[in-house]
Amino acid sequence: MTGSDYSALCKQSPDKAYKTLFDEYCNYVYAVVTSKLRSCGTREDIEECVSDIFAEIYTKYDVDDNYDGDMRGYIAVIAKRRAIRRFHTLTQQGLTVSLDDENAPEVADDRDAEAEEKQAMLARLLLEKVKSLGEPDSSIVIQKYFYNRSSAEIAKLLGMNPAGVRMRCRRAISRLKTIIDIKDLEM
Amino acid sequence: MKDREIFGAFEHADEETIAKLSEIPVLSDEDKERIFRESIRKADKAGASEDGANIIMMETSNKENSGTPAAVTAMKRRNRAVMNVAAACVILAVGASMVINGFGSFDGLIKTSDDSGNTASDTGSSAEAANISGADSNNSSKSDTSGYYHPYNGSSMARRYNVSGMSPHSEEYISYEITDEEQLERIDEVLDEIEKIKDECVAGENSGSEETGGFILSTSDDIKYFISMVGDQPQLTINFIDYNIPQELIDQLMAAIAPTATGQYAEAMRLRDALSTIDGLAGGKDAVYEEASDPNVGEGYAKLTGFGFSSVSEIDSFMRDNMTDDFINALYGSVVGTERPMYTEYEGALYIDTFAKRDSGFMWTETEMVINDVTAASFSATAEYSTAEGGTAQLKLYIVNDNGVWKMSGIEFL
Repeated sequence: MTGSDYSALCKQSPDKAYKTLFDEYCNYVYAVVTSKLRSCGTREDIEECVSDIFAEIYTKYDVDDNYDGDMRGYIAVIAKRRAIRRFHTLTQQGLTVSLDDENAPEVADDRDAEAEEKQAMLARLLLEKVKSLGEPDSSIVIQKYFYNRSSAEIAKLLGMNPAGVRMRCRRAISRLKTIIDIKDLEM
Repeated sequence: MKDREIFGAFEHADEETIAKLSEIPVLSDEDKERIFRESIRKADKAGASEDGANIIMMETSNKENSGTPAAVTAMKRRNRAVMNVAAACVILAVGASMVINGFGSFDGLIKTSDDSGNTASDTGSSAEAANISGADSNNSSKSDTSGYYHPYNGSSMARRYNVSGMSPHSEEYISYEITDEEQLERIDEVLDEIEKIKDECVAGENSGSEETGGFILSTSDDIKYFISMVGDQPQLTINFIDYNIPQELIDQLMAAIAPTATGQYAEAMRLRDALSTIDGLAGGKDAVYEEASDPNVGEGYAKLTGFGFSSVSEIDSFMRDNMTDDFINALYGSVVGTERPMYTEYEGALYIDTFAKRDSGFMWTETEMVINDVTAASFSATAEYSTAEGGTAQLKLYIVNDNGVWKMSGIEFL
């Protein structure tokens, strides 16, 4: 959906515009938020963050701006920013430190850009390998290990038996381990 | 490296990877609907809270001087959309910030849940001994799948009603249709009275700005009665116009709506008793059996001589009539369904695993249950039981409509 599509729809019917935008980008935003919060947040935290993101888009997007590009870029920025803020809240890492604080000099940016780039590359590689498992195994693995869904939930979503999901997942992980270099992932 | 740690790399996934991950479906339609409604509620809240700032910006409207003219313009548009009679938008926005609590007689039957307590208490029940709550698995399915707006066009009745709203405490949406003829008549009577006097009770502008919650009573002929709290006083908004209707009439309206929960109450009573029976079955409560176990059946299995059930299928059927399959599998799967079930049959007789016998069942107190979280598809009921130590504790039953039959889908010790 382009910005101008959304703007036009918004002028016609805000409700329809919100719903259309949500339907199109909900999964994407959910994935962005999950990637940031999966290690520290609950599913409720993730859902709350997703709804915050869409609420911000509905209220902040300038519908008079005839932007012809895909809305995804704009949405990605809002989603990442919100998700990171929520991450800091959940992990109780303050975003600001007073310079008067005696510990201030010791506060340093602990991000390692090089390592993060490598992680991003590994994520690409990992997803590629997971996809190579074929369906439904790749979906099961992603839902279980990325989205933290239970076997019962995955079974319901894919129309399968929970026991079948567990079995396929176990086998898929075994196969995955044979086709990826675990040492790379441990770095 | 543990299986789950392999996927830690996704925390730093780039945009392309995220986009590919998002192609894998993970949210059900119900989940999406719930998140969407919540986003609309928050957007409306944000719009309302920034309303004052907007007005200031409009008064000094000067695109050249304003730091963020585009953002202000966008916000103004949204606020206008909310204030105008854009029906569905307003229903969404208003409906999302509603509350049932504190509304006179309605409060007695429908209360919002308190999420603060979730510790196991000290009963001897089999369910508690297993220390399993089915609540989590059901939270996601408690949302109202029928949406936020329910006109009953084409109904054979002159007028039908639907109640919908949201609690700020649990933030769970409720929605139900009123179908009871007597109740419909009572509501009609009160609304007729309100319609007669409403023109003399039009409220001033911005009277609803302090509202803290409420819910919508929508009719089949598309009239929306939005009952909200303004300060301590309930206020009625009819099709987006605020009215200062006398308190007495609003109380009558609330009372007329309230009995909708009585149907759920009866079902909750039935299921509460069934839970006690099934929990009792799981621990072999009240089972009378022969002293010696039968080696033909298995070590520890003794023939039942006095029991309320005569076969495994009868027990299984009773459980499935009152509980969802998932709940049975999670908590009571061992009654008849595992490799070493609590009950088994041999040559037409029912046997019990005496090794697995333990204290079980619930002793309910006289305290009335409280029905919570009512939607067309589910509700919950909080019941009180006596503990082994002589005290009392509370248990929440999660109940869902399973193909037209109300069944327990989980329990939670409060």
